Amino acid sequence: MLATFQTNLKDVREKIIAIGEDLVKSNELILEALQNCDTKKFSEARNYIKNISSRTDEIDNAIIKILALYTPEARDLRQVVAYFKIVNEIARACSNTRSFIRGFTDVCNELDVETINEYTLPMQTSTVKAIKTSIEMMKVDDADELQEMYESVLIEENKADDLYEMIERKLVTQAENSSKSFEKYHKMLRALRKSEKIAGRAISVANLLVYIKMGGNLHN
Amino acid sequence: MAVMKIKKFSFTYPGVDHPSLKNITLPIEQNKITALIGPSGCGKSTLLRSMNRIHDLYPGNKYEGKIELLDLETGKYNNILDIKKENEFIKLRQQVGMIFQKPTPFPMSIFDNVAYGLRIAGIKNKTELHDRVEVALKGSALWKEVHDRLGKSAMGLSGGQQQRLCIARAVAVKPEVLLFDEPTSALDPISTGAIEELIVELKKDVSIAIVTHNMQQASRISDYTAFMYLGDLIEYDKTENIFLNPKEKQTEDYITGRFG
Repeated sequence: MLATFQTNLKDVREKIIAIGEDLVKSNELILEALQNCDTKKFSEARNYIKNISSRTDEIDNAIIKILALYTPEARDLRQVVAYFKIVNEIARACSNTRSFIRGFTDVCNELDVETINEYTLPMQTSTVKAIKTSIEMMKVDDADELQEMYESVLIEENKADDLYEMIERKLVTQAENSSKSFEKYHKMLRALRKSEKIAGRAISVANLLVYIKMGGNLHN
Repeated sequence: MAVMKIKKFSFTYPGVDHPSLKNITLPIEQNKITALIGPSGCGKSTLLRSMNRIHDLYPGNKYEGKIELLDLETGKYNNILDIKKENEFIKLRQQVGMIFQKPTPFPMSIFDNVAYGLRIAGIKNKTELHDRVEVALKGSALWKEVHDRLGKSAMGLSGGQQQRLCIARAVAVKPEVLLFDEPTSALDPISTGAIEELIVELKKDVSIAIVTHNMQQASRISDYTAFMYLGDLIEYDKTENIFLNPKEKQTEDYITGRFG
């Protein structure tokens, strides 16, 4: 492929990594904010993922231009298509992060310390690790290293999934015991579900990056 | 800034009633690649050949309008359709070089092929000749492959190497514009890739117009694209606009293969 194709694709990759790193920073700040329900930190976390749609639009248009001008094939085609889908996953992870912040800021103080320490913090820790590793995968070219990183994203995503189930069981029990607070518990669960979803997006991103390297069929 | 301005240009071959090109207005931008695309018989090669008046090797052509070439020294535009003298034609073809579909090496050594135009331009000093040949071959990405056999016949090179040699021969006389008439249609994909890389590299020093039937090639390498049909210029725009959002239905139909 021509150098101009490589330059354009490199530019796209760098822009995706930049958004991904902002998403990671935002989730790291959420993790800090969760420890003592720090609303200021929640608000700081939101700042990292502002105006995401204009940034993703710019990348999407650059990808369409690459497809139209260079008609890539084989690995080049897989890369361009995967980037297109990765941008979408990251944009949705940012949206999930915003929803998590919005939903959790109100109810954070009402969650008991035990639930936060035992489940919420480990779940968000796993989410951060999953998304951070998947974004780092974008800089890796070695197939073995990529596979290893994919496995670790998978483990963290599974952890986040399991921890969410545990929180869900605990909060549902609490809600049953106090029917007046049902709405409060429902809000908490809805917000925490977003963190689990972000980890899910991380595994999709990792999947797509493995697809670029290994080929095969595209699947979600 | 345009290095060449084609203004209301019409062209009629000798013995034909109807013009092959009708009222074409088009700039060739400096240090950019302009692709001319369109179905066979649309006049793109005729237009390209008019840009260094290579048709005038045979008499009787009719020209209307103007093709103005920027004189880089004076900054003025000169109408190349006014040229009548043989020495002016030679100068024009040094300023506006042409690469053809099939590689056309001369039956002489690699060195002499590149030095040919330089000698016509009056360069006789051996050291200067050698330096200019080396620069041209390096600029055409051929030096590494031929530096140890410059005295050997150019006919022994592969098709892709012969085409790069022809580019070196054209580049050696430092033209303002290079015209490529389907330069890769007779080459395999590897040689095509090498020539495309070279054309993109060359635009730093020279303005380029290229005729191609390969849509992907036009979209990959060009900055501007002109779509022609039946002697008319249908649309001219930045390449990304032509291939992403063409204004004319005919252009869209052609580039998406729905033509006719």
